[in-house]
Amino acid sequence: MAITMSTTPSKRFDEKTNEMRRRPPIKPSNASNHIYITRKTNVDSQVKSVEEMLNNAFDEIFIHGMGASINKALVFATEVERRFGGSVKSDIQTSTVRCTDDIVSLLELDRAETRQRSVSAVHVHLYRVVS
Amino acid sequence: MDNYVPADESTEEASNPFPAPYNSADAKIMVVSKSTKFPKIIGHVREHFDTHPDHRFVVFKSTNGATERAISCVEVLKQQFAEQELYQWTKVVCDKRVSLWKCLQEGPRDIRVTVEVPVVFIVISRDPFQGEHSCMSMQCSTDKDISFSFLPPSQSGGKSKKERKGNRKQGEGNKWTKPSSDQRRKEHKEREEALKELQNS
Repeated sequence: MAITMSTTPSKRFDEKTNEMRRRPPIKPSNASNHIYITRKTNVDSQVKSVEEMLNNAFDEIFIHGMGASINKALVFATEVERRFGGSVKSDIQTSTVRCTDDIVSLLELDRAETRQRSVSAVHVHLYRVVS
Repeated sequence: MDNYVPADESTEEASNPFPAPYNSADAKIMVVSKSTKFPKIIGHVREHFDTHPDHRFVVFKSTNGATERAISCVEVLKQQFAEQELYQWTKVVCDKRVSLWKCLQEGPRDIRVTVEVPVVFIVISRDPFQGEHSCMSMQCSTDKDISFSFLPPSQSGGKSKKERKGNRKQGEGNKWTKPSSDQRRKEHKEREEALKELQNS
């Protein structure tokens, strides 16, 4: 029986001799009305701060969530919408974000390899409706 | 909650939020759960488009909180259909999951817990959407950027993070900022001088 080998390079690496360092993804904007939801974000406290922002400082807020935090970002957006009743509406778009990982060899510190990874993202635009 | 046991659970499913023809009974709806395999669902969509050229759209719907999987599935589909333009319209609604907890002891009332689970509906169409439905939730597979992220900021008094950071460094106007070492030395000196004056008098 012949053993066939794949010609595509394996994405795996030896975890004992290499370390993966994830670079932070590029943010669409650094403005303070852009909120980035992560797995560690506390939805309740963030909802309160967004409520204050919409009441006092901004007419629109942008919520961004990536990968595993997409669901949380949507929960967050619907919660804000619910709290404001019909006075705040939302637009939703999706995208793919290219993330870069550095694979650094622990034996030779000057040798590093980079890898690209695609992650799905959701972007919610919450804005006040003029009544 | 030690004395409560779950007795009944019911789900109020949200209806398709899109207007006709995207909410019609014969519309192809792909339900994406957490265990859905991308190649299977994408292959199914491709086959559907090939066998029914008159069917111009499919609707993706997430179930059991698998919103991220539904979105990822659509993103992969758009990449695989790179040869043609696909138009996307996204909406989020909420399913209501009502669970009833019965009390084992007599006296306290039963508890009814309502949990709202977001459900994402995505229409993938081969034709552009009609102008009357036009909104910012629509996008095209050839779009490189998110269209609304680069709107001019409409703010009434809010400051960007950079501006706020700049203020923090200057240490002006905010009495709650931690005093610098020079300020602390100055305050200490002033206090010592005041103490000396009090002692002398």
